[in-house]
Amino acid sequence: MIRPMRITIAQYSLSGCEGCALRLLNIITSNEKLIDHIELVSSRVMGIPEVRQADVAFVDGSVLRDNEEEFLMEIRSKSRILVALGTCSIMGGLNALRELYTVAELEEQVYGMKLNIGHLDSAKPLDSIVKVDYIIPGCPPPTWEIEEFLLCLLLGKEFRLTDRTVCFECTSQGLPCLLERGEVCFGPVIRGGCNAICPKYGIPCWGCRGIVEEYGMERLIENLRKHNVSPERVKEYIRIFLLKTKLRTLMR
Amino acid sequence: MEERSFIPGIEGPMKVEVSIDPSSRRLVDLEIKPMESSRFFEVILLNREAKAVPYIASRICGICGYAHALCSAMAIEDAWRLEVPDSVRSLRELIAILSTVNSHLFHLVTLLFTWLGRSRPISLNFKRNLIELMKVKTHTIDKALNELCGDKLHPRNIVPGGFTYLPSMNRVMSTLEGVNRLNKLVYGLVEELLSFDLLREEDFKTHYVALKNETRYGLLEGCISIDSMIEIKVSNFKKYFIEQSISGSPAKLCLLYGKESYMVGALARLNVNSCQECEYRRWLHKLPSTNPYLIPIAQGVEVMKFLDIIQDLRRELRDEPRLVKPHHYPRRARGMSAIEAPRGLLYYEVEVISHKLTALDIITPTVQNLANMKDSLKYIVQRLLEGMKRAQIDEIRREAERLVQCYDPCIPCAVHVHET
Ligand code: SF4
Ligand code: SF4
Ligand code: SF4
Repeated sequence: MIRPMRITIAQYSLSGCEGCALRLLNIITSNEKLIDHIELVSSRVMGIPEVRQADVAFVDGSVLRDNEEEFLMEIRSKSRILVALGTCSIMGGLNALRELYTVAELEEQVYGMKLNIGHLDSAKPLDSIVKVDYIIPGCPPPTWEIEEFLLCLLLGKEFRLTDRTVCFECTSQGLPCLLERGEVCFGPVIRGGCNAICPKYGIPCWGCRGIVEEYGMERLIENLRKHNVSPERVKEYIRIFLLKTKLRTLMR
Repeated sequence: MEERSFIPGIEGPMKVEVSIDPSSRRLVDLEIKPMESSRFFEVILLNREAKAVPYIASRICGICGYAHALCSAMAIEDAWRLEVPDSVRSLRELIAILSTVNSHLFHLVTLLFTWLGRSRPISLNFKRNLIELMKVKTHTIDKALNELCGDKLHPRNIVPGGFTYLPSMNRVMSTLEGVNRLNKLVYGLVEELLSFDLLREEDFKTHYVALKNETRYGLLEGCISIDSMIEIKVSNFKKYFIEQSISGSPAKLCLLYGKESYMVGALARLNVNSCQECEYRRWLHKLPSTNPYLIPIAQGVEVMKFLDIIQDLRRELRDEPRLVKPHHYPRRARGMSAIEAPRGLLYYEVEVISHKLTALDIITPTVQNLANMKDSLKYIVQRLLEGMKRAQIDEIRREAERLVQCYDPCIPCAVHVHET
């Protein structure tokens, strides 16, 4: 049973697609179990753009522009608990791909000119700037996991991410293995909890929920080799979510 | 921290700076400055296998991710000269409609929360209705998108050629059974929006552009109609619509004939599709119209129309194979696609070498609406200055904010009004 308590929540977005923010707001506005126990005190999308004191701040996106660092520090100073929501905020995700180029190259290629708006060369995850109390990974994170996190807060329970891999969730549903068909799938070393949603829909796991440290990279690489997946293709697919992870060593 | 006092809205901040001369009550200057950072998708998508392109392109936008996935897949098919079966086309149409309803409803609900929160207390009864609406949406529209594509924000199975996997259509049909319950709730939502005293009668004139299809509401296929007078092929898009970079801004600007602003989105679509028989048209008084304050109402009209179309499409759903591949991949080819994203026309131009993407240009609805947003803001600010005895900064700020919010842009903003 939920204790009759209320917590204040703030939602902030740095650079990203804001899908994570929409997922969170959708839960806050439609989950009957939670609605009476949550007060949204800050969210630009919901009409409250100011940074306010809150029990929990959810921050999605990465720091891509110099003005976002200061913003993040202000958020930290006003939040009891800070949650990095989604791949962009935890490990840069797709934003990290800018690190393969210089800002000047990127601006020249997309805009044909230098913009001079403080674009950073790197995509900084939140924990490189402030202390992060919890992470909820995914691009975007699964709905059930955000709900679980909020319930744990309300019940005073500990929140833990699963250590199961995507591969475990995939095989236990009896899904056809895409790696065996020569596709690049990182499922064997990626954190589950998404119910292997990509393999279920016919797309390999490209690793949005990040690597579970205990699982050996060597086994994955061996597996990919066994199924004749070329290193070039592996590198191409690391360049989606996993650029800032150990797997990057493969690119060298 | 001035840059953070944004106009609330969906996705990415923007700043509008208005300078007025209080003595002559004239607008001196108006600048729109997007404060977001570019994520350079046009570079990071290059040299990838085509099947991963829609998956990644979807992450450009959390609210119209589906449109990016579909448009990129269709542009690659165009380059491959690949025809997809009717079953793929009708399912894509259903997906486009569901994601547009999702986007519109989210926009309308957040808009009401913002406006009501600032002007009068939100009544318990009305709040209950909004929550009920979000709940029904979650259990019908969102659930159907989750079922169909694995995730209602970023689809997993959309690839050039069709779908990598589809669930049983019976399951999808049953999730959509309760969709009619939305009708009454959306009706109430639009009536509430109409209760706000906005400048809906203003006669701001501009061009409007949307897809036109001879047989159905133009969403994924058709030619591009300009002011319901000129029709051009998608392949000629760049001859008419010219995109340019602006120094110091991460958002580009797209102009008709390289010099005139134009409107895309729900209101432009209703103008082009001139739904004469639609019973909800009365909410809009007269069409065609290009008054931006009418955009949320146009979105409401579209939702009501789409709820009917969903019922028709449900009857067409069958379990059929839905993935085709080209017999051979071209050595080097270009392809284009233009579709209606929730906020307006979205254009993709690609170059492929065999099964890899080698060049890409994306023109988003916001880029197309930006110049128009600036022109309509100028018009409204000037009208407010002329009509008022004293230049009331707060009122100008409020109306300008509301106007930007009506566009539902990907880059809402803060308005700073200075007296010079
Ligand atoms: S993690 Fe994914 S869904 Fe979340 S903001 Fe980043 S790109 Fe969007
Ligand atoms: S498809 Fe990927 S996640 Fe599924 S069993 Fe094969 S390797 Fe594991
Ligand atoms: S299957 Fe892999 S890529 Fe897909 S949601 Fe799960 S962790 Fe992310």
